[in-house]
Amino acid sequence: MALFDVGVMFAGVAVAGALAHRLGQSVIPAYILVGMLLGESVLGRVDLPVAGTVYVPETEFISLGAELGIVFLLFFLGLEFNLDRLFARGRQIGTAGTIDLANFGVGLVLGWLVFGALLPAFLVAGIVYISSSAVITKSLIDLGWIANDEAEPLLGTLVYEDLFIAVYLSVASALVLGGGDVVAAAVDVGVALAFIAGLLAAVRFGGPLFERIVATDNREFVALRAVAAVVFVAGAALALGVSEAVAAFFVGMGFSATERVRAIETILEPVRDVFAAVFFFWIGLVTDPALFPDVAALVALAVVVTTPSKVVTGYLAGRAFDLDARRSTRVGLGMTTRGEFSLIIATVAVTGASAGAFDPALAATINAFAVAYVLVMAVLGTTLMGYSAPFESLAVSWLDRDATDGSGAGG
Amino acid sequence: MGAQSAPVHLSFGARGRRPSDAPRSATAGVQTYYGGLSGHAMTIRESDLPGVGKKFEIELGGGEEMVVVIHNTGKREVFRRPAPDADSEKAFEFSDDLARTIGSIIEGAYFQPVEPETQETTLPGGILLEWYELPPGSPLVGETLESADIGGRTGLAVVAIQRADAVIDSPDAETTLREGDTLIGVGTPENCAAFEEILTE
Repeated sequence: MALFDVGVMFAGVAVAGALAHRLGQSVIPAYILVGMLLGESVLGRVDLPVAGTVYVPETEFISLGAELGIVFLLFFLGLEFNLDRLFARGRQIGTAGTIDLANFGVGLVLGWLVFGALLPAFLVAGIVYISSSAVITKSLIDLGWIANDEAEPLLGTLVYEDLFIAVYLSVASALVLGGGDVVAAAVDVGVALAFIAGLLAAVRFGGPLFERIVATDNREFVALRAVAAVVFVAGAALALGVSEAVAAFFVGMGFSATERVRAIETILEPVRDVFAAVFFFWIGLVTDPALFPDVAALVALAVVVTTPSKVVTGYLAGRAFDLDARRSTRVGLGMTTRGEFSLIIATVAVTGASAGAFDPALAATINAFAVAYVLVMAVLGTTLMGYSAPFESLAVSWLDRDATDGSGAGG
Repeated sequence: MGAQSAPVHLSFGARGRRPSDAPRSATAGVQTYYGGLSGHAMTIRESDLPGVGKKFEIELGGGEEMVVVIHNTGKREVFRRPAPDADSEKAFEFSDDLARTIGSIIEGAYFQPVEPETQETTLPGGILLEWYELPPGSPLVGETLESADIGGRTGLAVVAIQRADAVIDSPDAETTLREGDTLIGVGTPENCAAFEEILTE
């Protein structure tokens, strides 16, 4: 039966992906929705005429596959992450990324007002702060914006966010698993940061080692060795109580400097896509849509507050890259898309709850919030990018007039 | 030009000098190349697209630009941008193999319709023997070899002048330069580059 469950899961995501593609939407919300539909909370509540109650249970394989999905998503982020590149345009990316951090502050205030406690506020802040690299990059290519000047600030800000989220995730999982005890949490955060420092040192000085691991022309061996390295280190990290996602990110960074980085990407991309789909499906499985009414107000509030805040910070990021009002508006609209990383942050709460270190009811609420929020924001962001023209005209008529006045006053 | 990309200025003369011959300055992320006779300077901006690949923006003159996006997967996309601030319109998409074939067709590896107008020959020691045609309006037109002081100003030695079908070998200091003359000079790549500057300015 377990194999059949997995078969149903893959059939489900395959159909959902095709449908989303036909509708011109991101596949991520589709994977989540199909997971939700086929899971215990929806299909499991329906009494079918002949079969009785059948649904896809959260089997160990599916939750493990989801974990691998997180590992591979972060591994690829690391593969694409290049410190030299960050420094080459450091001033602009630094300015744009720092402005973007305002969204974290907005999330912190929002979370504090709703939950009245620091840890949930910290999680909400991360969930609303991080934009979706996967969805935004895909949309950039689909819309042809990749060839325009707005591509640089969008992708540059995402790189900044990726680095931030690596540190954030390790702190967040230490705090959540620390179970609220301040001293224990401080120790765990210390361990997590020490682990990051160790991984950074490994990336900095372990170049020859990474190079040797994949120094073969045999594609099969490249695949096996890269997978072995990332899953082994991620698993070891988790065993030590450190975020496996962050460990995977740094292993990816280690391989990013090797000559085989393109080969690794080409060979493992399908592996990442398969497990990432399992992750999104799993998120749907563990999300009870019955909780949506409870979080609807919070989701609505978050959407209403954090959509404009991302538009504004994105607009300013575009300006930091010397773009005009029209293109800066596109940067703002593009950055509104949230996706995979918001869900990974929610997973921290879910994992903490199943380890007994975090209030299960709170974890379920935060997870339901993250899923509903991502469902809205992924669709909203993709749609805003696709229909950006009216917003651009609006921005140009508002802001270029100001700019003209400003330049007139200035000179 | 936005400072977000690393501009690479390539200037190709009619002689098809390879840009790598004459790098003059290299600052952080910016490489500037000079060279070129009838030189329409050509600017190519290169920028990284994290998670996607690389982007090259090639100025075609008249404000028109061609944008080439090379994906990490090997896919190439070619866009046309009618004006610098216009949106890029996608024109073509190629696989890696097809892009290489098309590239060599454009390069002229399969078929060359015209002979190169001028040529360069490398002598031992990296000294170049070059042909330069005096374009209309060149400040050198009307000057004698003495008053133009080409050797003193650029270091290039003019060893012969081709005028219509005749060749003046070892031209003396009194020889007056005319529009359409082809000067045959010998010098280092630096001498040649310096001469190209006074040839048109």
